[in-house]
Amino acid sequence: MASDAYAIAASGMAAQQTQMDLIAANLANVSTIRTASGGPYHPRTAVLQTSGAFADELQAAQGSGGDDLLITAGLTLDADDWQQPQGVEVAAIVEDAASSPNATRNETGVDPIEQMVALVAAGRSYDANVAVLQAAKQMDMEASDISRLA
Amino acid sequence: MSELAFTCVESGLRFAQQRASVLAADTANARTPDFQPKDVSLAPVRDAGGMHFATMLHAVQAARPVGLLEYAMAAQGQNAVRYHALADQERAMLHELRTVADEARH
Repeated sequence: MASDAYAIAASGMAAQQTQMDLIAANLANVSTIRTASGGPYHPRTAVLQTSGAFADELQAAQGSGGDDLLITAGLTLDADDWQQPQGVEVAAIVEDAASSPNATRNETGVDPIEQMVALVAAGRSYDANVAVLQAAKQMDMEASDISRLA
Repeated sequence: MSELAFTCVESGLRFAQQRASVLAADTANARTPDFQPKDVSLAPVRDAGGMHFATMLHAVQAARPVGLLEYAMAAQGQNAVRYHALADQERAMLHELRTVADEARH
């Protein structure tokens, strides 16, 4: 079970890493007025979506007895309400052609302040996913400690 | 030490693991458009078989993305403390069981 948390947190970390890569590229190209396509550079951002592929993979790994997951000793979970927790993935990388109001008018549409704020936000999300990973690791260590005693 | 006590504690441990997965999904998807954050809680249910606890999945209302991240982090912390306490309880019961078994042998 805690292994679900590992995979989900890892997907969140990967998504935020992609976001940070794009922000780095946006900042690096803040003054790029000519790209390979000829026009000025436009800032890029990642559009995130829940990773259906991950959920399907998990379901397949659990086999047809997926319902077993929903029932634990003394605890029952309404199978109709339950949806396997899903990770996140990058659905698309979109280019924002509209210039930010704070961007220099005659250069690109990249607003360095906006990009720095986005970088802080992505870093914060990444840290949160790391915290989830550490909590899951701690839980697994406790479980393994108990299994040694049993 | 009764079997029931172990069953109860182990159920609590499993619930905490289940909740950790749900909260991990909330954290990972904090910036995903249209993602509906969820959490699980325990609710007592009375039926023909007596009283038992059901795990209820419910939607989380939190201002996104910062509010959701804060909610998920706080819940994750609370969940980890609960898991740690239950793990301590399980260890104590196993220790007691071992002591009783040792005494019975001598």
